[in-house]
Amino acid sequence: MSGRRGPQAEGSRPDAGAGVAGDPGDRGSPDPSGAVRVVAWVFRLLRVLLPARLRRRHGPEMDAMLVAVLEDARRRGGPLGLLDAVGREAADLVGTAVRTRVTGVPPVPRLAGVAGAAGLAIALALLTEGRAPPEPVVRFDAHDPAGTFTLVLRDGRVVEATLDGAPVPARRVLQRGDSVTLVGAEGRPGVRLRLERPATIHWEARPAPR
Amino acid sequence: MSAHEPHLPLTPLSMAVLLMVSEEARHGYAIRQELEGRGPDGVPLGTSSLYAALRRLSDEGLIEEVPDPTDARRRSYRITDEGREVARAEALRMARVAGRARDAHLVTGPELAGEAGLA
Repeated sequence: MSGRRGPQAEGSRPDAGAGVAGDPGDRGSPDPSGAVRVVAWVFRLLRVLLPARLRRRHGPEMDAMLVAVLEDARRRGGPLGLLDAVGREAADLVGTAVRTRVTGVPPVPRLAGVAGAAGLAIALALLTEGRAPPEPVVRFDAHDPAGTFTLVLRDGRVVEATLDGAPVPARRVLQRGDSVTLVGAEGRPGVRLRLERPATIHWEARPAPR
Repeated sequence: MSAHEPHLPLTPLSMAVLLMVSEEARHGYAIRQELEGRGPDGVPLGTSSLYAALRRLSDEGLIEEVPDPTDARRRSYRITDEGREVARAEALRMARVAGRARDAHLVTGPELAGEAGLA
């Protein structure tokens, strides 16, 4: 038996939803935002810094991974989360370019041109992103045969949770993407669930304790 | 000198990737998620450095690409026999380093066993 629940609402039948874990090509996630698309396009340009063989062989895979990572960061952290991810990916790209190109560093003017275009596009993307309304705080009150639990989400992240009325400390809230596990204390049953935007959760209903 | 020594020592990222694909073939995104999700032992990764590592390991014959039958643009990666031998040699090399740290009284035997899950 599974559960599916919107915030403070009665449940309905679950749906299958997810694809192969870990493969952005199969995740069935919605289209990336305009900001993510722009940033991904800029990164496609910046990849000229990487060896041609690496680009040719893995370009489409790198594109798919980058879009998935940026979109995830945007959903979790909003514009600042996206900015943080862009910064980390840019630093990683430049660092990788330096490591993989011991010789043949691109000429400075070419590098400056690409960097200037990148800065402009990222700024435009962030301005666009900044106008998007923030995701609201969502509260779930749910129950199954094993007991009750609550979740409070802010921007897609669990910021508060209880199991059978007891607060769950942050170290026992494990979240990876849309998968959340509330670890039960000392033999008490926990719960594993999946978030679905805008405001639905799915979980395998736990059996009643003996 | 063993046949694997030219590969050693592996970088932490290379070793982590070899371990990750030693049980089953995985897509790049799955490798990244798994490596980043290991808490204090996690390996922070960027897209470029992960694919550069996959390219290098593939060029060295330590992993091989497995094309996706449904989409030619996607592929997963799995360890080769050579990669398995190199990962084993690296694990033994790390164990020798740990043994020297114990001899130098930097760590105790039980501590090492506990960290390795052998206690």
